[in-house]
Amino acid sequence: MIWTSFLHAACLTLCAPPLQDAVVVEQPQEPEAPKAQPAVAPVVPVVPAADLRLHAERVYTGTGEILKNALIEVRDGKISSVRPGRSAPEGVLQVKAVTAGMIDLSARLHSNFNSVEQSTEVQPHLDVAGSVDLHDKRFARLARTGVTTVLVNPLDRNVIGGRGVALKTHGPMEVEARRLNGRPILRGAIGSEPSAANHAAFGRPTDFYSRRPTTRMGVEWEWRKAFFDAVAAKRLPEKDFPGAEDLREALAGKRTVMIQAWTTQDIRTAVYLDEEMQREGFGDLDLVIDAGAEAWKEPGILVRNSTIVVLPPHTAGGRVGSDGAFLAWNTASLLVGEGLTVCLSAHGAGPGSATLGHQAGFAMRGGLSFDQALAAVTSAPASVLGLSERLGTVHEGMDADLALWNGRPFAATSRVTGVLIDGVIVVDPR
Amino acid sequence: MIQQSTRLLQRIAQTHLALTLGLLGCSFLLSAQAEAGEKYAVRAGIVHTLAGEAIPNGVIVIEGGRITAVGSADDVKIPWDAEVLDVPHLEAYPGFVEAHTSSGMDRPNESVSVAPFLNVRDSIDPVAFYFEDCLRSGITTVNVQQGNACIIGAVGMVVKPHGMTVEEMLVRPRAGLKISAAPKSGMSRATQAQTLRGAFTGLRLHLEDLVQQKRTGNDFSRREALYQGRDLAGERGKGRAMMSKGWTVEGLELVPRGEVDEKQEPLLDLVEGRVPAWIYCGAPMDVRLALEIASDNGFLERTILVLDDSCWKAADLIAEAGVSVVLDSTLVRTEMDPKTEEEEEVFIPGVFKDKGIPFALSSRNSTTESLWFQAAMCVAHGFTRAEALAAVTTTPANILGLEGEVGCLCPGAAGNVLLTSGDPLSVTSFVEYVVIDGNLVYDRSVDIRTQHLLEGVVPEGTESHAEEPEVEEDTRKKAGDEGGSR
Amino acid sequence: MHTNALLLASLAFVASAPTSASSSEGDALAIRAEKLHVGDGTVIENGIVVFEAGVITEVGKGAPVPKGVVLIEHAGHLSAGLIALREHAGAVGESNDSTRAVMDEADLSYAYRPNHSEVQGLLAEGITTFVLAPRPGSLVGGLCAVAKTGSEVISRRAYLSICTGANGLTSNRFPTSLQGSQAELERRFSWPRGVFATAVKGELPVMLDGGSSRTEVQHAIAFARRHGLKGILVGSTRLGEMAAKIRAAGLGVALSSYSPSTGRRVVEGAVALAEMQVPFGFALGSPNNHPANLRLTAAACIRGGLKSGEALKALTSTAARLAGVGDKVGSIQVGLAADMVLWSGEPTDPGSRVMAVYVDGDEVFRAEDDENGDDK
Repeated sequence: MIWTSFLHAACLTLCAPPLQDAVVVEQPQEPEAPKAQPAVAPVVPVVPAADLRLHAERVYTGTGEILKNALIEVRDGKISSVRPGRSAPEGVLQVKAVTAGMIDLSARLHSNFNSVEQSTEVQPHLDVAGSVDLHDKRFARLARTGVTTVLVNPLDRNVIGGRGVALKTHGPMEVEARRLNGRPILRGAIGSEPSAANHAAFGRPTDFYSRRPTTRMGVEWEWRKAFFDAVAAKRLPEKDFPGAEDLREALAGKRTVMIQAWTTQDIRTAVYLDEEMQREGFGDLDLVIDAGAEAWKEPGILVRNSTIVVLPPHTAGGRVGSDGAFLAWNTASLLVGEGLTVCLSAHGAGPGSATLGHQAGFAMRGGLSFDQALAAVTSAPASVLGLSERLGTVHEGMDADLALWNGRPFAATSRVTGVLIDGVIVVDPR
Repeated sequence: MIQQSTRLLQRIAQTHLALTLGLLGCSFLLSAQAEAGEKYAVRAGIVHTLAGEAIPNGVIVIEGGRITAVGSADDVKIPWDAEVLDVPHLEAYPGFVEAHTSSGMDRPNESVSVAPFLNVRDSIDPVAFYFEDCLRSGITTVNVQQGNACIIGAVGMVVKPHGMTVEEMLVRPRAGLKISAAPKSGMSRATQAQTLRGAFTGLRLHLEDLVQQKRTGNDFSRREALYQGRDLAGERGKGRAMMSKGWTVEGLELVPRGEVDEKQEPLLDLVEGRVPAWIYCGAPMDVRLALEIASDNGFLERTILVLDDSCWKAADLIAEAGVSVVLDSTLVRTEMDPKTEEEEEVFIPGVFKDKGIPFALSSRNSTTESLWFQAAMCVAHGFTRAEALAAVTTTPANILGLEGEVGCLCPGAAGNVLLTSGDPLSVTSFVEYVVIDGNLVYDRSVDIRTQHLLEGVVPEGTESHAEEPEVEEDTRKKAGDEGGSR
Repeated sequence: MHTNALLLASLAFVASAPTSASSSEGDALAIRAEKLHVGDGTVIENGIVVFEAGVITEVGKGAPVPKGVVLIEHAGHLSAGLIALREHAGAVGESNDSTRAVMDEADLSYAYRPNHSEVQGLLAEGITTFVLAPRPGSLVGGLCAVAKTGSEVISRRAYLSICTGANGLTSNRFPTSLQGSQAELERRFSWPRGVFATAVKGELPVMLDGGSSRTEVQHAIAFARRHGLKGILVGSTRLGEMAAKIRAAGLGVALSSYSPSTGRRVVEGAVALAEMQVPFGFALGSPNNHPANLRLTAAACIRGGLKSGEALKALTSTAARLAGVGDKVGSIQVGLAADMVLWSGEPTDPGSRVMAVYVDGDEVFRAEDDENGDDK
């Protein structure tokens, strides 16, 4: 299980033409099995906790029900039962409120410039898992704020940055053991960030940043070209390139495409790109817009394309991001009202800042109902990751990822005091 | 439902016209100063006086800008000639008090390191967005001081965030002198400390020099004062013995106060305990320097420390000195133990509460980390509501020397009232109205900037007509040849 | 003592040896030291080592001194010359080509300058052999050489230097990301040609600089295991924490030098590695690091719990073995090169000084205020 993804990656790199040498590496006639054999047994995940019970005055299940005075039992890292109307037995951990552990699809936990391969703009096959440092304190900090699962993406300096990886914020210290295998995600960006470091070839180009794209239209061109070339490569194998298979999977809807697009023009570009792919007969992207701050300006195009939106953190003045986008505080409420799936994100804010829980509160300030806000930080992101059977709600059979609150969730006067991940008490409220 | 007199409506119309001509988005600002004897009353669903029990169906009567009565609607009679704000669906709270800020000025810092002769009144910008935002977050009293990048900074003042001129905004002038114990950029701690000590030594030498001149019959200082255009009449022409708790200069009564160099006078006021000192500390080690300077020069009793987040480590020192503090940074500090590599979180207000040190919170921006948000965070970390609200009302009022005047709804206090749609510490409630000195100065229903922030008002004529763009026939065919098939 | 001096004096007249001790072609020399550290842990009291034509011929307490051979009495300790497992002396600026990420055929022996002052500086601290490695910066930096300090290269393909972590990345040439570097390394080692093929067969050890963080070191170890690579891990102060994994992978370690901020990890790491029986030596990295740091790091490790004998082995015989020249240098044994250091005291005692250094039987360094020897 753990090694299939590795073998998959190995196969892709094996089929890759030489990336650097002038000398052409001889390719075999057919793909061989990788040379190396795993020399060690797969790493065993964290030993699940023994039976654990906790009692909550209120359990916000996320399925529409609020259970009062419920006793939750955890076994083997899963919730084995949730029974309301019980009083707290002696010595059992008691809390005021329980929600599912929150999920942040845009926690920005990458290792900055070490996480994006900038030698070319289009790198669909490179997996950010190679650069994730699980010893980074940010994982623990996010866990303390009640975020139990994050999606780590490459830094958005490339047009197409590569594959994201979904991880829980606590668990085995090896990425392959900890990664969650839900829907595969392809990450990219539209806007000014991918072209930010590039420049035209004035004078003597001293580095490989003298290249396209240098403008938004160049960025869009790269996207379109990548998809066109991937489709062409299927019919003309000599045109194959690393990542073509990933792009074809994206077109087939088997790999979710997550595009960062802050401003309304960039959101539009992303949706039009998808629609063009449909018109050309190449496929239909499963599109998620990240940091879609200005989605409130043209919700219609998102509705007609069934695009999912991840919103960035709310700010005091409304301006967010480097492109000066304006996030109205009622955006979540407006989009949910239009029937769209909306997820909230906190961009990695730690305790003391405006955490993901606070963002849910701010969305409520903008008009979102409590249930909708809860969904936006639990069940909606879980469905984007394709992990709805395991994460995002509190009931029997789900992973025991729980956020324990000392008051009403998302209120500014309460906070996460305890966290369980896979049934392990990662943050103890006692 | 708001009961408004025609007079008020007319005034609103006039002010709207005047203001919208020059100022974008300030149209929620209404009416001018309270005139003596003018009466205003607020009838709210619940009145929280913060000086006792909450009063359901409460009434507050304000006359001439001061609260004259607070009680339940049954007990308090509203004068027949009072304007009434009738809002039974809202809750009334005392306006919040911002204990220390450097916002609202055109620039928070002056490059001259030792400049006690400056005054923030020359720098405050009445139309700065900061003051508007104060009203939106329910702050009705603001202590404006120079920024932290100084050694000895300007004289500050307490203002209300409403008024077209600084004079209109004034609540209390000469509200303290700003000092920074943290090194100004480019300075080392040693240089900072030396310059600080040197400033007070300089004062002492100046005063001794004045006394010496008087004793020898030299009238240089008098000529200098006249040359500087200073007033030597009345009280200013008289000398007074130095009254300080620290060092003293014998014979100062020989020197008319008006002849003290105007550059040194604010320091003399400080040393004589006439104004408070606001001393910024950027690190725990600065606290020791701050307390030392204050006690060596006799103004420890009037010292308030403005603290960065790491200064909680010096809490014992602060408790021993018995001074109050203003928390000027994030409320949670995370530090990694280098040996165990574990991270430790400290909730800073909790440290000060446990040590019995009076502390006030200060807002960091207008919405996501305003005073109400910080107070709410205190509750999340175990404070009672009363303790949390005190940190933004009564405690800063005490620190500013305005106890009983602001931060509570009691007879005799200024008529500063917030009307909120619910618990002000709740993320879903809003400040709907603000009354300052018995005047309605903020009405959220006409606050366009807040509307824009909350609802993303799209300018007219820019509605989306986003449809699928037209594609030409031949382009489609070409792509189909090269690319893959369905 | 007095007798010895007379004996020396008489010997000096007898032999027609020149004033400075050397063993040129045909000439033999013998040294008796109060303590002779063989290099495998044993210490011989009043041991004698005899060497001729640069090779050790006799070692022992009562080793017979052939007639006509000058016997030098040394009132101190004698050990094999120290070995630094990663060094840049004399090759700074010459050993790192930043234009390309992969320099698989680059041969560091071409960058070696025996007469460079930095190389000579190593001698003053008793370092007689070192592995000349490229600085971190390239993904594959080249083939490391093992050189005798001030003399010649004795092994041209000691290691293939690879940086698997963030230190192999730059911002202006491929790869700029960790996933890019991993993809490139996988490609090179899964389709191995040239030196990569040799490495994968286990015939060419690799010097893996995994970067500093634990995650990067983990990646490096897993990488080595995946491709069946032999060699050593360098560069991180966290290596000691991974002792069990390193042992399971069959790799060795070159420990970083002690510094005030990272010293605790280095010291604890050495103890952990010794406990897990992971072979390790010490890296130096001069001129950034003063040559004295090699020995001082060992001294710090001893203070932290490492056995003195283990520390000396790490400085000499184990390091030689890891560098693939264990049959030539690293201990005082018959048949090995006469690379020795005369110390004023215990070699791993920071208070001891280097009194004299021999490389291939030639005295190449003598402390200025030396009281021993026959040129007084």
